[in-house]
Amino acid sequence: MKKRLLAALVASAAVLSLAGCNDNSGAGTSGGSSSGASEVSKVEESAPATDVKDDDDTLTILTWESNSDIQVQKKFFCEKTGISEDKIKIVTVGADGEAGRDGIKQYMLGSEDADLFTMDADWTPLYTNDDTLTLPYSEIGLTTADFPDAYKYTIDLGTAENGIFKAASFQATPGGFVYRADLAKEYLGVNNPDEMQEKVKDWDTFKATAETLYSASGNKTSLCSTAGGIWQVFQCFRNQPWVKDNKFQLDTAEQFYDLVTEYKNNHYCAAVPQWEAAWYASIRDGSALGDFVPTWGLTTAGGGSILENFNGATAEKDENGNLVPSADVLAADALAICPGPAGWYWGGTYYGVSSRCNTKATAKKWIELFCNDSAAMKEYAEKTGDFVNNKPVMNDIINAGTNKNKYLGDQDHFKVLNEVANKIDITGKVTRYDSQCKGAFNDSVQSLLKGEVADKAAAIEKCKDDVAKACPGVVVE
Amino acid sequence: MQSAAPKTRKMISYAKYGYIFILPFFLVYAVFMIYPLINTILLSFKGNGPTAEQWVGFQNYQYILFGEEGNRLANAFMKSFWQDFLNTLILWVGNFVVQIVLSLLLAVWFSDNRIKIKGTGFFKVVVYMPNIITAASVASLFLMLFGNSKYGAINSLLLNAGAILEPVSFLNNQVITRILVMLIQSWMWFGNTMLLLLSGIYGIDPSIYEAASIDGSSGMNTFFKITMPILKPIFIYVFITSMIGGLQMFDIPYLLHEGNTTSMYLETSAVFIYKNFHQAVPNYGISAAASVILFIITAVLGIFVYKFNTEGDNKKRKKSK
Repeated sequence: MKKRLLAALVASAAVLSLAGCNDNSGAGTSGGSSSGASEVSKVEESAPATDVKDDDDTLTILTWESNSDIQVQKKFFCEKTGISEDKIKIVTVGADGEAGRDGIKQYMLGSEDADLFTMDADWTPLYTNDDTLTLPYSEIGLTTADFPDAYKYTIDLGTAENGIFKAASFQATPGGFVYRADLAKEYLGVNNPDEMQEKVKDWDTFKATAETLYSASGNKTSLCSTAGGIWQVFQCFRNQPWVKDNKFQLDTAEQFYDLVTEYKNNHYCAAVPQWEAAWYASIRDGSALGDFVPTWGLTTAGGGSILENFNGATAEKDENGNLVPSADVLAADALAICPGPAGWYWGGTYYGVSSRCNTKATAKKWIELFCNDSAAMKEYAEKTGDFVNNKPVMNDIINAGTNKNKYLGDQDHFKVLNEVANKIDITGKVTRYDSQCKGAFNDSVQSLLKGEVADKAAAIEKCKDDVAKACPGVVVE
Repeated sequence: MQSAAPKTRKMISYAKYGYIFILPFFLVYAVFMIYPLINTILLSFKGNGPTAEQWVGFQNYQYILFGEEGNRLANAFMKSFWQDFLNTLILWVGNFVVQIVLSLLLAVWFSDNRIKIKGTGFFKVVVYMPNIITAASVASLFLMLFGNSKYGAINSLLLNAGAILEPVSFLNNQVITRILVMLIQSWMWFGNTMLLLLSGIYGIDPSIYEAASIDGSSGMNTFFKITMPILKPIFIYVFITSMIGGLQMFDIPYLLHEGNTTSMYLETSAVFIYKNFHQAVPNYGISAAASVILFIITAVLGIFVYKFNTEGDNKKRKKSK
């Protein structure tokens, strides 16, 4: 009996001491699970919250690993506002954008702190239309009127189907047609980007030029490297949303099947896969004259952007893992950019307010600084080379003539991109099903190109089947 | 008369400690195996996407197995499920035949006392090696070798040698991609199978072989009359485990493609399940139902193979009784 009593005492002492440890670490500076536990109690206390709370001093931003902008932004934000860096907590919930999409949803099933999300343009509508995940900007005191200088399409993209504004972006992501200026001169007699633009100003001219180019180069050079590049431009060229009155519609996308098959069969497009060494090599060895590249693919900071890879400046890795130039690196003025056949954008990162936001003032400050504060945005653009979502700022930079891209022969790519950005019009065409519809359509195009499906009709069937599977609830034909 | 009532002596029972010690296993098993299993079965009776919480009965099963007249969604599910199941079977059969022939041949050679191969230990390690490499690495290795464009290793070799004029789209070709997957799978697993068979062969009493050789049995004869019959249980084991693994084949078929999506010819049942629960608006119900169906198919096939192969033995035993 005595022994049992002793054992009980020892056990309870052990439990108590453990509990004591927990308390201590909870009050301390860090600790994963313990801080989680304290969050739980906090949320429970404030369960029936109707207004956004402002009782937590740490701004928690959910993002994904490959979103490297966020760390730069954190530093920038703290410098500008004087807020201490440990009051901004960046939580990565996945490796890439797609994993981020699922990771945020998963994270939100728990009860840990989350104030802001970074969202990829592709699935922003999916989240803005889900009230369990995101709050309207009005809840933290912001409306569309607070973003008068933003490019119109970014506001459209951040607005939910019911018209409520829920996401803003710090960047606009128009793109242009990057091409080999030296080869264009040789085969097409083009001397500058304006002349090149004349050759690719719409889809008919684009095709005619591709035909001329292929024969002029002795059946060697295609006009465009990847089908994916053409598709990025083409998908912004729609008359109708993908889903209208809960019904799926292909609209202009149907033409793309013919276009892309024709391009591939006649070698107007080299049809190499995107994101692989073959893509970059096709530009350097002249199998393709160029490809469509968005703002974020045109940076020159040495991080291995699309443009740097086209040039060859970062195409290889040395024994220490540093990116180094390849043997066939191009001359600095070998590449140039022109707007291309249509207004288009590719990607972009948007800020959404978490339905569990409890750091209202700082969250608002963050969004205002990156999406509306002209002075700060100008500084950010100059510092990072990003195309910020502020028309006057971009106009200022273009008028000052200070922006020179070293891999585009010192051409001002902002000037070209600004032209494209003003042409983008997606009003009334944004739906929560966009990313799934685009994905299904893109897959069916790939299947057609690979020969997995016999013809256009079969590809359309496959696309519709896939949309039905990806969007249960949408009526497909 | 004194009654012979047994003296009740207080005994300390140690049995409960036994239960306490094995408790952790059962707890972990219940949380990580039993619960997910039951939950999967429950999920298979619930809806998809926005209706994930609704109870829909056998609708998911009906969609997957039979489709529905005039319902595109149901027919789309049915089409892809059966196509994917067929792909799985083709890929598994192709891989198993090559694998078993190769590993049996090597196992017999390595264990044969008359051939006396030197350095069998070294070869066993070498043959087992591919199994240690992660599937992802193997897939990217083969992607580099068989890339579709002229930058792929094989294409560039053939082009330089003048054997072809245009690069071959290996990965877009139905037959070539499937053969590739079969070969990769066999290459990765034949070492493992060989070791299993080898252990079976080593388990055979050497005196049987001695007797056979004294009686003048040829090598072929010894193999078919002695080695094969005694190896049968190991064979059945290899066959069933390979079938279970094969029907759940996922990594290589899922990874071996260029571009964004899995090749249509390589989409296996496991990829079907994964894709449906991993999409932006997940089809949990369909995924779960497909898992349950796959489970039933695997179990039935497993039992069938086992019964089919042991029936002969039972008959023989009964006769001898």
